[in-house]
Amino acid sequence: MTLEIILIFSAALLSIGIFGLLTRKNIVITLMSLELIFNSVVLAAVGFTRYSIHEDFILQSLSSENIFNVLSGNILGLFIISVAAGETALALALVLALGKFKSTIELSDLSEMKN
Amino acid sequence: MDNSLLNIFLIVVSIVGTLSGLYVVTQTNVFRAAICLALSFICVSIVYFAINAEFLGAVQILVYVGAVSVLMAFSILLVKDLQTASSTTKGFSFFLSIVTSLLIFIVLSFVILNSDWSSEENIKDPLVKELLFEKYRENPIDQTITFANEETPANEVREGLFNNSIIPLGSLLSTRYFISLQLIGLIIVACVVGSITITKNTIENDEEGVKEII
Repeated sequence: MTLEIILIFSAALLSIGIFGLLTRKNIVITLMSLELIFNSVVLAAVGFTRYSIHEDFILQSLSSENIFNVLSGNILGLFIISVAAGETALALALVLALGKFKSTIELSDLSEMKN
Repeated sequence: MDNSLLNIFLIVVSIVGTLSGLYVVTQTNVFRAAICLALSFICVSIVYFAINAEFLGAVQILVYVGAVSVLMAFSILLVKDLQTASSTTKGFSFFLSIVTSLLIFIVLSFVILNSDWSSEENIKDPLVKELLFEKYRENPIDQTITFANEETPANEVREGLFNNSIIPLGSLLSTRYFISLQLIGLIIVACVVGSITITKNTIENDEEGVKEII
């Protein structure tokens, strides 16, 4: 039951993030929704790592290199968190530049590349 | 911790996290939204701590709560008119967005509740149980895994994988995922250099009075 609770929390965060991405025009809120989606993915990966363990996979070869692979989901989460942090830093620098030169942070006003 | 108690705890934390996430996407004040985003991240990190992923919980607090939320709050304070101006789409597209996200949530919940996940109750082998949750013995010569008891020498006894996940994670990161770790470092350096370049151009152009779009 614990895995189901974690996965439903993850699904709720995912759908909230998608809702924010689709409705809000503010660029910072859009970024926040993106962060919520990343969080939901990492949460699901960590939940599966802890609660969905295949016995046969471990018993295939009982050596220390093999059994550490049980924790691969945590490594995936670590990498997603690092990439998301870098992406946020870059995006917020862009937000600062936009606020300086165009005095707007609404996504619907940024349409120079259209057509 | 007893499993049903853990479940109740996780449900409460999930509800708080979900409500603060909802507040983020419906709030008109962007600064308050950033604070609620930090609360949502804290709830996720509490879940990590509760399910034996302490390292990831610490990383979550350090990176998301400590860095990302604070960075967002700073950029909100630095940009003029960002704190209140926050419009949403209206009419039919707003309705479509609600339907889309609700459908995604309902379908996902349906799949989650109707699937048969192989859980930790299915683990029958006593050695695997010891290996994951108690203590095990690692033979230093051929690195085979056996049961640990009182006579086992202390340097051959290892903590269970979920008891103390920091040493296995460090070992994985320094052997199998070493190249990936270096590549992630390279990506972060590229991101930092890029953001410094963008903001530096912003400041220089501002001093010369030149209004150009980067």
